[in-house]
Amino acid sequence: MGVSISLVVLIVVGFIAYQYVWGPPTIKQRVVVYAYNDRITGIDPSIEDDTGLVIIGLVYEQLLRYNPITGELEPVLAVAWNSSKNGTEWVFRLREGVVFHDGTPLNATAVKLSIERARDVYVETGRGAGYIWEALEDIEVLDEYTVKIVLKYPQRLDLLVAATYAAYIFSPKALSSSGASSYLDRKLEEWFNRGNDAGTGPYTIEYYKPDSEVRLKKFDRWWGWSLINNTQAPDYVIIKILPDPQSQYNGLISGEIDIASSVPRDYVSILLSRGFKAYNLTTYHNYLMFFNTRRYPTNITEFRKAIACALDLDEAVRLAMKGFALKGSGIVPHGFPGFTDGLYHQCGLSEALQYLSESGVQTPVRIEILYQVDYEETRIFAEVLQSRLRDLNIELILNPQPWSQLKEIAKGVWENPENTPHLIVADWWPTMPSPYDFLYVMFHSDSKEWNFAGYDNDEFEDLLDRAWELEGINYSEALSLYRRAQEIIFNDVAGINLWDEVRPFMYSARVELPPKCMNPLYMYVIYFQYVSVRI
Amino acid sequence: MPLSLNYLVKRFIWIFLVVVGVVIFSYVAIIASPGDPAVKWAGNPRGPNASLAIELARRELGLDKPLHIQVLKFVSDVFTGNIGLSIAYKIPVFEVILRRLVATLELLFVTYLIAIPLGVFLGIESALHRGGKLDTLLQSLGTVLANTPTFWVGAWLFLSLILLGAYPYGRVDPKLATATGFHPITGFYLIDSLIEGNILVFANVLSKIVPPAIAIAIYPVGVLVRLTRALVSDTLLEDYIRASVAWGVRRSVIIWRYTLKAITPGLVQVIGLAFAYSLVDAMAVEYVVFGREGLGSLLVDSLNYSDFRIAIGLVIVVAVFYLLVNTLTDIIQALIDPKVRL
Amino acid sequence: MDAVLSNFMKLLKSSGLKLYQDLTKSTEKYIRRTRFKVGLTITLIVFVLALIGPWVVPYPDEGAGYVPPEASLREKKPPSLTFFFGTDTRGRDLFSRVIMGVRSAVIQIITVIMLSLAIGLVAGILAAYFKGVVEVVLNYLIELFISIPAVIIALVLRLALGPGLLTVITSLVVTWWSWYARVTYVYARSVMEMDYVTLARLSGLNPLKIMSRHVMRNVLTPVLVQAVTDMGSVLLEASTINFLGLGLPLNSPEWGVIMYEGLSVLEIAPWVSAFPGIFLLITALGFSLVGDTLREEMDPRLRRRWRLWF
Repeated sequence: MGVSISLVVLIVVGFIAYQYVWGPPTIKQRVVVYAYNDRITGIDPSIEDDTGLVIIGLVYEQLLRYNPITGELEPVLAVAWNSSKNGTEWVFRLREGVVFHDGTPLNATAVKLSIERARDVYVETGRGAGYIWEALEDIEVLDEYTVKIVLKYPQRLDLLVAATYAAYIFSPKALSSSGASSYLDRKLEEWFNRGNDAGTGPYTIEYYKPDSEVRLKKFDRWWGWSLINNTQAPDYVIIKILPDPQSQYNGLISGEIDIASSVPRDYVSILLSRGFKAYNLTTYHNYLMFFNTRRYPTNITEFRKAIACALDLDEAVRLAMKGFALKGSGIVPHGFPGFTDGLYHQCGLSEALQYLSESGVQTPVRIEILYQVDYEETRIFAEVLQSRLRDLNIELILNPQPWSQLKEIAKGVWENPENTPHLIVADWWPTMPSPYDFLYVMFHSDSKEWNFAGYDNDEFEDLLDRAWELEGINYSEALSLYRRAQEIIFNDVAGINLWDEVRPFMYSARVELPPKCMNPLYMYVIYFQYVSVRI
Repeated sequence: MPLSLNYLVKRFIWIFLVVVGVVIFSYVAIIASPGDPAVKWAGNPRGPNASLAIELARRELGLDKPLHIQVLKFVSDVFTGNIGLSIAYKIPVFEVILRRLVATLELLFVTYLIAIPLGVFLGIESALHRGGKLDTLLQSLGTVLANTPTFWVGAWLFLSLILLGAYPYGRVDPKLATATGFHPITGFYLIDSLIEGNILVFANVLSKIVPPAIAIAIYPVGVLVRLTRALVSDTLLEDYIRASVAWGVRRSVIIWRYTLKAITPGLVQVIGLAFAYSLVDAMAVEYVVFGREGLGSLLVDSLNYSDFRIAIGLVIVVAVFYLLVNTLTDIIQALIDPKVRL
Repeated sequence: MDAVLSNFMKLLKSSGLKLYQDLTKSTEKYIRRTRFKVGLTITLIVFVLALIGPWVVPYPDEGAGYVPPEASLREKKPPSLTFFFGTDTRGRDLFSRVIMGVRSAVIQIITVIMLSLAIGLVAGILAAYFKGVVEVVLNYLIELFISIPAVIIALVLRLALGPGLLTVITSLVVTWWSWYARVTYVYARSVMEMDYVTLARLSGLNPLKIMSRHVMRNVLTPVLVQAVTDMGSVLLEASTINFLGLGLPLNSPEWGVIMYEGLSVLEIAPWVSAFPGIFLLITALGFSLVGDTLREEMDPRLRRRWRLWF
């Protein structure tokens, strides 16, 4: 018995020694592992409006892609486009020779089907981001590679076809492969969510476990390989689902992970000193604090101002984000169209006390804050705010919730303001490259799903609607209206943009991330076709 | 045969009834907690047509029917494996849970392969040195180990391994697995890699599973050191052991054959209990620190995504696991101990 | 808190002190006596700290979760004379937080043990006394709740009720009562077979009186000793629940919570998770030393039953 045990031990030690001393064998394929911080909520190209983007962005393509920093539109599946009749008619010329992963060619019919599905699923079931197609009147297939889109009113459709969600083109063959009777059939969605794909992108799904790991394989027939000429692009992209930042850090230093989307911010400098590199992406991901404007005492503007003054945002950015954020100004984030500088509250404790006495609210008073439980930064923020308000003799009750619960409670501000917390912290990133996406969705009184402030201001809404209509006609005039709209929110203190996140994507020296491989509009998508990996 | 068919039948009926009870308990937890159960079951749908999804969930749960019908329906749904898709992942609930359970079980098996020989060996040594310094040391160690927070030790173990340059992170190196074409079959990676003859992956998996297993082994080792000492001390006083000594049987034979055989039933009982208990430790250790996908990370994720269906699935799967381990322990005990009859 | 203390003293008087005197008389059992002494000392310090904690720490506000202004200047500072245990990720004095955590620990332990004991004793005695249907049903319930670990129940409760002390305590009580019910039941059943109980029943004595006078009295001591041993396990389990984020809010002075906070800065500020871990270990050890010694003394055969179930 003793002999067999020592034999086993010997073999085990031998194996481990073999592994550590001689190392893994020469890997002939270029494999890159990307740690992503959230589970995949779904990968239906028309319906998904959440974390599935990280995969959809590689597997599917839109007609155009938009770079909001340079303001340039890049051709993807469309190579030429123009508008006529005051921006109500748009014609897109498609790229020829593009094939879907199932082997069928891309044509105008596929474009028509994809856009109509996104819109109709939204209209029929309310799911997805199909609302961006609200102005759609008709889609005409002019020929195999030309499609004409007619709108009800003028719009920057070139920006909309570059939207983050609901703008991806999939193969019509998916219908027959899934056995769906129509594109609204649930079978098609379930087929997608089982890990099937029907895109044109540079990668195709090989293995799909949305809770733990997704493996993507290079699609050799992608139209772009000959154009970008990157011989070192990965053959396999493994997306590891690691919600815990600590876990991503551990994976990175152990060499299992090449790129990490969110390591603990404290560790960034350590990683840099160990030879890892950082890709700092100034994101459009911002964190907002809404005031419940329909419940005492946050319905009093002076009281809201007092809270805004008590809060030292610079300190909050340092402590909660470890400096990896830009202090918010107005509502729209830095670098996004319509960003307005100087719209932040710069006052202190004494002014806070002044506003508090002007508000007529008797202290001590209790208010409640609702925030997301799984974000370390919102937890720190809530604790900081609690402590600062304690200095004003305001007791802040912490109410952390998972995202879905948070949303459910927060939107209650319309139906049941008295039972909705006074302060709500939520994060947002845009679906389409327009300030309207931020301002309408979060502060317009028609947007009862997301307007957690219960904010209802006719002047603001009038400005906003005018700006939206102007976008297709006079873009710069529209942007100045958006700026004025943000000033109104600033003066009313209905909500505060706390900060715009700067996200350090940390990566090992064996991969090269060129600036082109990320775009803040398509958050978390790494365009691996541009990435080079050393074997 | 100390084990009767009658016992087995009775036992499994009992397990079935307990599981039914667990299912009913979970159902009550959904119904009795604040908020509309249908909204929760549908995963807090949103948008103008959310009412459609909620209506569907209401029908799925049968909320329009009387309570006893609802419960019956829910129980039968669970036993046909039909509690729907996970809210967070949109794939079947039991598929996710079973995949994660296998990962955690693999870790537990390795843990006990380490803990049992080590704990028993130290316990016997301790008993042989009764009253001596070694005994005092080992017994104190046992007490300390049995009271150590496992997840805390796991974190420190991981940190020290990192400082030593070893990275026991994850279950298998994804790059190695992809490059060598490793595909899970059973979900037990150690077994799968052996079946596929993939020695590299086997070594890789093994080098990653041992450190967390050591951390989890702390508790069973602590328990076993003390238990074995007590059992051995009693056994050594038995007449037949004294007789063997008088007959001049070799000391090592007495200890490692006679005594070990005598204490095995007592050990099995406690190991069975400890094994089930270690599941919770494994969940805490594998999550965060060692980056292993298992029930632990699933538990935390299902909270963060408020995935009620996964939570209910976890309650049921873990309860079944406990009951089965318990029964298995009884059966093994009956098979090896002639005094126990079932 | 006073009630807690007096209960503890009562417990000590009923078995502990007398035993302690017995132990000190015997020189052979020197080691056991030392272990008992050590355990008792730890336990007493823990209870004293739980009572006076907030008044002896340098920064009671920070201990309770107050983030100081300019926290970013003093976060993650190593142990020093100003901050004995260093500061945490929010710039709070870790010493104050850890010491104030003693009270959370004691509150969790005592509430869970008391409630579980009360339910378990009643259920166990009822099952042993009435036999038949009551026995089967109670045994069924015991088996049912003994099969679900508290962590999993905490998950369900956390989803249903939200975070807080109530979630931790309820989830622990839901499983622990069944353990005491089982232990009580085993003892009570053997008591029920004794002649004097049979006599009492035959003489038509009120069942309530039999249960309280004969059964309860005989069952109470071993079960109470069991409970003392379990206090460490309850603490470890509660901390695991809090560590996983299923229990107390994340700024509470609670060891599991602080350890979770410290885990994310383990390499930068190892002290944040080290100190609460050490306190947790020592406290659990203290209860375990006291309980084990009591148990071994009372009934040497008892030590076979390890408390293993969650």
